[in-house]
Amino acid sequence: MTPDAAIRARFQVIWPRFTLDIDLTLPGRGVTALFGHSGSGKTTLLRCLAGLERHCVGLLHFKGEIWQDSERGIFRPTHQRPLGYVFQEASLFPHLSVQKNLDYGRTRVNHAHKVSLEDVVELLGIAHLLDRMPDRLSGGERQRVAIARSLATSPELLLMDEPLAALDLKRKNEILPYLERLRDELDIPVCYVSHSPDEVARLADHIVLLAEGRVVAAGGLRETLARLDLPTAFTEDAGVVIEAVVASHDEAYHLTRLDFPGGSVVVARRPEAIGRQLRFRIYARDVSLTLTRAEGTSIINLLSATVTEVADADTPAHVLVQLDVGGTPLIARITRRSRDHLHLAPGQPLWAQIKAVALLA
Amino acid sequence: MLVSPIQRAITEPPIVRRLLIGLTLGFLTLFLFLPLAAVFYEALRKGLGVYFAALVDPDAAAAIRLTLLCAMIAVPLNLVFGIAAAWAIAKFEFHGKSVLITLIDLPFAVSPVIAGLIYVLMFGAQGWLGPWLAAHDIKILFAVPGIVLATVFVTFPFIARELIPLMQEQGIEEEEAALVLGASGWQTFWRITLPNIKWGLLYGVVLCTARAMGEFGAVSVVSGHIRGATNTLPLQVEILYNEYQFAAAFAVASLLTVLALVMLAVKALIEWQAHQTRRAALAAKGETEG
Repeated sequence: MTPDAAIRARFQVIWPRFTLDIDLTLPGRGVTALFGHSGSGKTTLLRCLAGLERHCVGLLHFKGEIWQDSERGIFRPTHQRPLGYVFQEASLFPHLSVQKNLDYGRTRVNHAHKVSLEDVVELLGIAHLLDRMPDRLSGGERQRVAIARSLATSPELLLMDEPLAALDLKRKNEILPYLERLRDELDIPVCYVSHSPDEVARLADHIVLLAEGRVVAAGGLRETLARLDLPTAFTEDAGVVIEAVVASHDEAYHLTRLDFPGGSVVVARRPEAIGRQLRFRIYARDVSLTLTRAEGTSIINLLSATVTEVADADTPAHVLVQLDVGGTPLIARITRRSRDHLHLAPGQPLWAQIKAVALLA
Repeated sequence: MLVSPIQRAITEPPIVRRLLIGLTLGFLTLFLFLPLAAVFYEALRKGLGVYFAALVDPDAAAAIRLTLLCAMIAVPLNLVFGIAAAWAIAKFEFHGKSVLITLIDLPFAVSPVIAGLIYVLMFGAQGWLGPWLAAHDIKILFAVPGIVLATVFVTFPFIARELIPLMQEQGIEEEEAALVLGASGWQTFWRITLPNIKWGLLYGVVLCTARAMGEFGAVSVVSGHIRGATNTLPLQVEILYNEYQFAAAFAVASLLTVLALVMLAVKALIEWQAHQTRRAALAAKGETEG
């Protein structure tokens, strides 16, 4: 990646009880999750990128353009930045129909429309809603219209502030596939604020972990989640994300085999066709370790692995073990007693066992 | 309609209810309906001829014109001021905000006579700016500008007061959404903010107009009571009454009353409209989420 293809951000926001102080380089493509607990500063960071935060001091370069440079007194106002912003609440204009909401930003875009409205409407599946007023939409529909509205302006950067947070589980699941399509079909960088590990695992390519207004870790999603040196707040739910391909279906036992570099796992039958890409998480707590290949066990998924690192976990009873499965990292959470019992140390070959029922459950 | 247990618990026995309703009605009749009826009765007692003669009298006609002129200047001024103040208070954070809100309420608290005296103090012959104004031959006191100023002072909280809670409740989400869609602040105001506050705004304008036409105290102090020149309708009523021209006084008063009633009707209509809009929105919400 060339330096001018990326976003360079250095921000400082100082409030009485909160300070944001970050220095980041974000990739020019793909979904970057800004992940952290409430109060970690992720929304503030997003608002700084959009130019909505008045008290934000710093520097922002976007693909070679200067959007903000406080030292030189440069600040490009929000409405002149080619960005889309999706809020937690859909923020549709209640007095305008869905169609007019979509048109609202479009009439203001100066450059030739790169995105056609039909494509956006199709991408988010809202063709049947165009004539309705916003108060006639469900929460999920409203958020889809809001996303379409921001995409219709042909943004060069899409910012999303927990777009699913206000929705219940059913509506979340209804909208997630659209977000996955967005990730796969959009050619612009997306910053996605979330505090849900599941959303991040499904959608993100890169991740920025934030805590108390600072960047704790940043990088590719798989490498970053596989790290053991993250603060304990992030290791409670420790686990890795694996990108696999649907390899085969076992109709007799209603199972599906998923292949990934270095191995394969069997899970309950998936609806996806053979050859489709599929992302899934393996939680560290669902992985157990054995030195010899176990016989007579109910566990189907046995992966040959090598220990790369052992580290303390958030409780003194547990340790986290980082494994290498033919190039794919994996984390196991085991007891300290087991670690000593098995004499685990980096470089040691062993077998990782994963219960099939824990995967993609 | 369902009656919740809580509602039932606070419902009084029928006799108390009837008593309370009767008391309210009796009070209204005695202090509102009767005097109103008396105005029209007195105005028309000597016949329609006298009634209309009083209204087309040159002095009365001048008073009508001046009253309308004052309202036409004061209301737009307060409209701009009200929107600006409500916008600043609802959408920005700054020091001294609560002081500003209190200051907006000042005309409600201060007696209108004092409001008038402030202008006498400032623009009168012995006032701060009096000699300078006299030297430049600018007339403010005992002339139309003074009357307009006094009216503006007395009526400026009406629109701001109506808009502040409304805009605070609406927050800044939609404005921010418009900004990130590439709309400038001005475009956001016309296309997003204004449609959102239109009912409250109209309501405020109606109240402000009614008050601007009816103001007596402050205007009385600064007007100088020059017949046919600086008398507004309320002042004209007073003069006629003091000269024992009761039929004419009540005729002009009835005109003022009619103006007030029209404003009241418009206000009721606006409230009803806003209520309908809100109900439709709520019903639709219940439908999609229920």
